[in-house]
Amino acid sequence: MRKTFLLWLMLTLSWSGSMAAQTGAASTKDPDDSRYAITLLSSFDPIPDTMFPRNIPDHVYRTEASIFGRTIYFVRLGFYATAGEAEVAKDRMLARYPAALVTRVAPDEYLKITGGKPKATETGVAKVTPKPVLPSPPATPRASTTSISLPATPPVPVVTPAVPLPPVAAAPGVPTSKPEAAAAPTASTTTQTAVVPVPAPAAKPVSALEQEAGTFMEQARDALMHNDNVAALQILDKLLRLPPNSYSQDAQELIGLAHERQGQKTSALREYTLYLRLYPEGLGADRVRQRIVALESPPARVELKKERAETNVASVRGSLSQNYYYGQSQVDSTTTVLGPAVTSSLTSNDQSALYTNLDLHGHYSSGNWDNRFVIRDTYTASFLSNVDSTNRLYSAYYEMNNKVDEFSGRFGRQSGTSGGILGQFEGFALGYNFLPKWRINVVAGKPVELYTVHYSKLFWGASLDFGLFAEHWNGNVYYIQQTVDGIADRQAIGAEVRYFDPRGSALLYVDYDTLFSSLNIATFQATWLSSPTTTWNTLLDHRLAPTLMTSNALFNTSTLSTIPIPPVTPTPGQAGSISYWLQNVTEAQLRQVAVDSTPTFDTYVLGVSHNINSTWQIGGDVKRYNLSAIPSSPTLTTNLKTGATYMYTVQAITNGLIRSRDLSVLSLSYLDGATYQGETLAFTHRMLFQDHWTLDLALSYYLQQDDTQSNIIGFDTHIVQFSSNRIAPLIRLGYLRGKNMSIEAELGIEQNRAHSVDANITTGTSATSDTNTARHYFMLGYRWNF
Amino acid sequence: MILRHTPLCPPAWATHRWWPRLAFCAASLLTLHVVHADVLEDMETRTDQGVGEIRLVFSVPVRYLNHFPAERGELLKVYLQTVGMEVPTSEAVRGHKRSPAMPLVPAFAVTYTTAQNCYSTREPLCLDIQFSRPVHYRLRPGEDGHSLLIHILPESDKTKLPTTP
Repeated sequence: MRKTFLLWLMLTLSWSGSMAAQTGAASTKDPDDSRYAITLLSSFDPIPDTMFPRNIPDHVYRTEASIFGRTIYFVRLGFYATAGEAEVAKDRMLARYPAALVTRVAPDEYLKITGGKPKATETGVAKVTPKPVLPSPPATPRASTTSISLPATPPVPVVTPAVPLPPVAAAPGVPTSKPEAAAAPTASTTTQTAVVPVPAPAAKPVSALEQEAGTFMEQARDALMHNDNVAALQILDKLLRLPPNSYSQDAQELIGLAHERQGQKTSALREYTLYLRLYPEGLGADRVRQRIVALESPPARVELKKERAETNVASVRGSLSQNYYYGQSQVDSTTTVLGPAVTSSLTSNDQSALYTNLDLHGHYSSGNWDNRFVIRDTYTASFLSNVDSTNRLYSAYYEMNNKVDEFSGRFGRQSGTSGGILGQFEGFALGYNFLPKWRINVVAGKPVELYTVHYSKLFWGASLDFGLFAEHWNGNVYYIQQTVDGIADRQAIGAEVRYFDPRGSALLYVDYDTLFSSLNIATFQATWLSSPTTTWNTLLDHRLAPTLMTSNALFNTSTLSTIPIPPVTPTPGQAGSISYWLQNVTEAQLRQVAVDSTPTFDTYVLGVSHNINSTWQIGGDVKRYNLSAIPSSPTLTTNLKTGATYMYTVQAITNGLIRSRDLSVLSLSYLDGATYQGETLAFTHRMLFQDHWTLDLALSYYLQQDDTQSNIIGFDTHIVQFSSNRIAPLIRLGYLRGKNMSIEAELGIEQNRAHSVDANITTGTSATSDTNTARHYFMLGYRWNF
Repeated sequence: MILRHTPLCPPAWATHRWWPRLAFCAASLLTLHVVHADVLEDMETRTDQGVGEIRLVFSVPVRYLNHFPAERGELLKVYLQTVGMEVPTSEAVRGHKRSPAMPLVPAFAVTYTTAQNCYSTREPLCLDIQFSRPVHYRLRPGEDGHSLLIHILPESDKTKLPTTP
């Protein structure tokens, strides 16, 4: 125990020396002025008394913290000086608390619980008996497995002899800061008392390898305690040449420390870097990163941004998948018009294609810079002679972020999600946080067109993000301008305001086109938790569809053609070119046709879902759609105008319907359109079995019945009736091979039947038509995650 | 992954008189701004004090609708609506992303689809999130309007939770 303490003291002084040399002992805040505790329970809701442990000594406490913007409630057992002590103590709690984990406790929590003299009503102090606490030695990582004996039962506080307080802490949990020391009621500024677990005999025998490694470790510690760094290096080298064992990680850290104390900075950095490569996660890694920072950073940098500095980190991840789709369809029709039935049958192979998807993310972090590149691409190799192979590059961009000055830039093909940007573009987006809650953004580029176009668009815009204000509000305002073939295409201002609350969220979004003096989009959406089990959602949406732009005139070239005198007949390429039309019509005429070619779409939705219990949820909603007429095109108006269409839906979701790990969804909808009624049923069932298999079953059914229509054609009156139904079962099987490879197969059928009757009541004749369409397809593919 | 067509918007040859349904579908197509095949842009995970956070970043603005089970499970179904502003397309997309395990955040895979019948709303975006083990979570929409946050607690098997002696 004495040796262990001396080693702890030596490490402390070593670390403090290195830090003091670079930052000045008095000016640097101790990075490790925290303690460790075992988090026994975590909850999103206050933990009731019935859950509070009562058979554990009194150093169990409740607390809460705001983490990721959400209040989390904890029951913790503490405190421990080192992560190693806490880890081993935690292991003994796992049988009763399977989610127990070691947590580094923030100084304020530690002070509140132990020495902050909290009031009886203060949050987080229930059942706490404030005690002066000092962590126990040693500070060497994971040394507890041999040099610290641990209690067979939850730790009992024991007061240890007074411990001199070093000026700057070296290892996690070593107290040095004056406020902390002062806060301890019975501690002086130079000494404190400690609560440590009661020692207990080692739990189990170790193997020969472990014994040998343990011996080396003990010798290395002795050497380090006597400042014999050369000997320590030799012993640690031997230890590290052994097969991996429970001392390897600690030895890797200590050999770096020995080099550091020898003044061998390069060697120390090499060993620390190797440590991070081998053990990138955990508290030891945090400690080593701090040592690397201390070795690498000049004093000014440490003082200014020490907490932000990091070691260089590079990673590449992503996935590659290939899926082959094959589909065959058959259409059988029977038509009867004034005579015998005429039948026809057509079979075709409508799909044979291999989809190859690449998703690649690279990340490189160096100091205060984060760099990222992303490539996402899908190549479709078609094996049908009448279908072309295609390639779609969805993303290819480089992104950089400066974490200190908080500016960022993204360059390349990317998606725009705010600031009035319509989808994907090629260009750049820059942002700068000029104040803590204010960020200005500038963007410019060229929209990505999925299909061949005969015009050229460019845009630029600026936006201002604000928030979070009053804990709940944020949003942005923007201006954006787009040109097409050199003339203004879109020029809009907009605003987005969002509200967030633990019980719900809301969004108000408005986009107003100053070029057309027209409201493009006005939408309000909200989700609200009226009770812990009931969620409401609503959407009120009014928009021009698509967003109003001068180029919308190209949707209606038939109208454009009639404006010039005499009318023109453009080729397909000319018809899609704004430059061409500008030779024949004015800008104002183009814009008027654009306005007349752009319908409005209104949507209102109100929905609710309710969790009956942990395995059942029911829900439903009512929707109303309305696509307006298109003034300039009676033909388009006839085909597209929907009138008010109502849709009523109920849905039930459950898990454990057949097996405990299943999840099933059943939904029923009824559509009431202006001229038709429809019903849909959809059922999906996902099963997990064993550890690697998933099975999806799905069935959808759609039935439509049109209103009987009476048409007068010439001198005859026709009564027309139409109905159809469609059923589509599907089965999909997935297999996860290892951690990175998955295989998937899918088989589906789509069966459609349509029946129509056209009765001429004037002549007493009728025509009927029956069409049956069947499509079968399958998919086979794999995915490799790397 | 791009599917050929959607159940409510079948190809033209699939029906004899299809204009009523076309009207319904066209409404979706015109307004909606699509859902790109690349709808799930990224998945980010981080932890703090034992609490894990998964941020699913989408390439289009999304609106949270519903999820199930409420807060515990191995399979999580999330329903969103894309409120996009992209170029119209009739293609439904289906995609998959998998995340490696992190300390305190189990490995998980996200399968998403924009098939019209995955949820009874316009422009649905349906997620199936499969964790490598049951987790205790809470969901909420991201502050930026195009992400979803899933917070994960260290999960105790409920049956093993301690009871007061």
